[in-house]
Amino acid sequence: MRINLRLWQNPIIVKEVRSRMRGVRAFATLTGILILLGGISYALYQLVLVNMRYSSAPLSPQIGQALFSGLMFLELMLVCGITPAVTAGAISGEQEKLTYEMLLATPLRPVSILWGKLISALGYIFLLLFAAVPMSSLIFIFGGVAPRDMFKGLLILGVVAVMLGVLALFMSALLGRTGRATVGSYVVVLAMLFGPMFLAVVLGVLREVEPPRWILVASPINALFSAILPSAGNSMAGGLFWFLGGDFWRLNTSVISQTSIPRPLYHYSLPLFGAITLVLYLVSTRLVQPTRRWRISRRDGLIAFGLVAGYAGLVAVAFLLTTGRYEQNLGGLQAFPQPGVVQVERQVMVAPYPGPVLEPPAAAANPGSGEAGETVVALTPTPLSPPPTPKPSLLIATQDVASIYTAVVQNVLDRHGPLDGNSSEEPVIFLPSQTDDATGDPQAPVMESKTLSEDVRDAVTDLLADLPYTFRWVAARAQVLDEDQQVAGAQGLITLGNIHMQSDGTALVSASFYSSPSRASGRTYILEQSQGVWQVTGTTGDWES
Amino acid sequence: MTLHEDHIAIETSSLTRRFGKITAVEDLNLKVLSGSLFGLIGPNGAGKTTTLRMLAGLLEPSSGEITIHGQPVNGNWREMQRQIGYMPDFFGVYEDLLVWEYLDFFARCYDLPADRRQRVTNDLLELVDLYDKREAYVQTLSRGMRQRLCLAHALVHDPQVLLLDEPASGLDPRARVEMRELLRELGSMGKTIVLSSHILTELAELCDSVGIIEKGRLVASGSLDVIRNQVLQSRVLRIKVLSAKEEAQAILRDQPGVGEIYEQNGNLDAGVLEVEYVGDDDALANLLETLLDRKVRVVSFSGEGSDLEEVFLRLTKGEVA
Repeated sequence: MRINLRLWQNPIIVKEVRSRMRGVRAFATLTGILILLGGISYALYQLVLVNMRYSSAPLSPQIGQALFSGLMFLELMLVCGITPAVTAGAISGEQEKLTYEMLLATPLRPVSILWGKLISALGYIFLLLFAAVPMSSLIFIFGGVAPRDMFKGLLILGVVAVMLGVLALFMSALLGRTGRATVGSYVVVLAMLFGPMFLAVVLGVLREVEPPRWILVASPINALFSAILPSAGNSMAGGLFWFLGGDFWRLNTSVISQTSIPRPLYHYSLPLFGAITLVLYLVSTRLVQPTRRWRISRRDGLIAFGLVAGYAGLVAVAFLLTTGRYEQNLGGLQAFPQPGVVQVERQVMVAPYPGPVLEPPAAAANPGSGEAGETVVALTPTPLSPPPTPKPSLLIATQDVASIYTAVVQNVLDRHGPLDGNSSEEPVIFLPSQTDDATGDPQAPVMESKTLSEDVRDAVTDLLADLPYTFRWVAARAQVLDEDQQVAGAQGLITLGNIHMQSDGTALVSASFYSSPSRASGRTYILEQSQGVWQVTGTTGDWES
Repeated sequence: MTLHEDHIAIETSSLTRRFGKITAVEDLNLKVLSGSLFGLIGPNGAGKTTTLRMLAGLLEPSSGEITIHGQPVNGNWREMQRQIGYMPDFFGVYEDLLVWEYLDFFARCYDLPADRRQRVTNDLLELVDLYDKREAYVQTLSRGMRQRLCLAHALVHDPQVLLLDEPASGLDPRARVEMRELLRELGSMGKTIVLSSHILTELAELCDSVGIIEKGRLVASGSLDVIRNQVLQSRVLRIKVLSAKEEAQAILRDQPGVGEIYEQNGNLDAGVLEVEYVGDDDALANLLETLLDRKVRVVSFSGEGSDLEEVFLRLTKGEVA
């Protein structure tokens, strides 16, 4: 089982590289694939532009994200399509061409043959993958993609390539015929790619429940998208990526629940792929032996056992090391390695996108429970943990909530200029106490509608008292609309969204202005705190009608 | 190690190989002297290839032992493979590889250092007369050239023992002559060569000793002359007499060396007696004289053909087909 690590001493690699990279074929294949990737990127770019023309002005990050997810998907398909074709003939081809005997008659070990075939085939696949990297980096011109996510995507592609290479090699050694090995490999690849999703959909439809998440673990597509989800964006087929990322089970449930971020799907997929690779490789080392196939010597057996045990240990350690970040147990010992995971009156709201986000505390509590004098609504980190020092900006007091909403309302009004009502009275603006996140940038985080507490409502009204308007809180938006969908008895209606605290200390709030169906607008405000006062520092996702 | 053992390059004892219920090679005891050209002859399916594959370490014997240069192979055939060059009967060539790269590849398989690789490659291409085709693609070579290239591949590590399975099959007469010259040259270099064939004449001109194998058993083995004598002394006589067949048979039965006598009754060969006879030509002349002395009217008297083909057919009886 000695593995020849000095690659250029393995004659198989030298031979394979010599014959594969010879002539026009390798060059033409590479060129063809790059042209294909380039063409599809351009098509995607155009598609995104057209798509956005109907919603809002094209956002550069959205283009970047669409291109990124499209390219990653395409490269995954390329890997799945090419790898089995390259390695399926590795062993069986030698047998069919009657050259295997000649190799076995030399002191070259069968394992070296296997190893050499694998390395040379993977070398070719990785050449194709890495040749596409400079082109994929065009994405960074548009932005919206974290380099970290790109590396994660490439990592998954690499692991999938190695797994499929070993799989086809195994088929080749097992079935002994290139044709059969190719068909066998592709059947397995297709089953892995689409089987889990098909199964998940069928189960979901038949049982009318969320299908269990583990079904999707085996699919490279789901693994890839779970790794790149933050950068994949949801501009294009947001729902699709959501589904592909294995996140769909979060749909109506609060799995993002109470104390933890769920582990991304690829955390399970990668160990699974690695285990498949290792086992198939070990079995293949026996399949290529001309004699004494299954008479495994004690030494080989020990090495194989050591490899499997070492691998299992490695995975276990990786899981243990990252367990603080994910899958915290309810009420168990918890550390907060990441800022932003804050418990609000034993209810932590952490949105999955794009990072940990805090729910406005006012909405979290029972509206009636806010008692007078209780200024800090929700600040306690988990009591059981050694108290880390949470960032001050993550603690939201009623006055902060009020300050944020005041700044937002001011900005909404500034955008629409002076509203003139009856000259004798100040113009009236209604404020629904139900929050609504759907009124701003569609990219912004969304959470359920909450009712603002009385404390918050009073504080906001107080802070807005200087403005030349009269603000009236109403329970719901519907109650102030007449049959023509006009706002009755006031100049307009300002709907506020939830406050989404970001880990960098900024807050995102969606808000809209409405006076009639033909006069409405909305955007999402980005706010920062400076010297105790919240100020709007930016907006996204403007819309107007 | 005695001098005698030193001279034996390959020795097998009770070598047996079974594939399921079929016994391909049974109880084979073979001795090949060092430096000799040994021919393994047998009809198709007799077990020649199985024997050679076992000798090359590609197939494990079901039982029995192989000794090469006095060392038993069992267990360390990886090491033995360095002493053996093997050329299979059917072989393929790699596409998209140049002739020199092909040899270079096998030289790498034997871990030859880079400088020696280049020298060996060139020397071997000279030897098999393919130096001009150095930079040609392997797949463009003719059958004869490929056969020579394959022979060259078996020589890259300068083995003392060469196992060649049907080296001349599928070659035209000219290529066959070239291959024969090449083998003679290798023989003169002191290598032990074991080659198999089902065409006897091919071996007769080349080998100094042969083993005849049929249905997995070694029927005869030894130097060519010994075998020829051994076999040809036992022959079938065809004697045609005009009358007194019974009397002729009685006379013949009394003679030494005469075995079974068959009487032919067909129209064409009425009066023909087929006599199994063991004895040299001198004794044969005496037999005829005796018949004539006893007034038997002999029309024709003939021993069967004495070429090697005859020996082969007689020994193998075509039972394998």
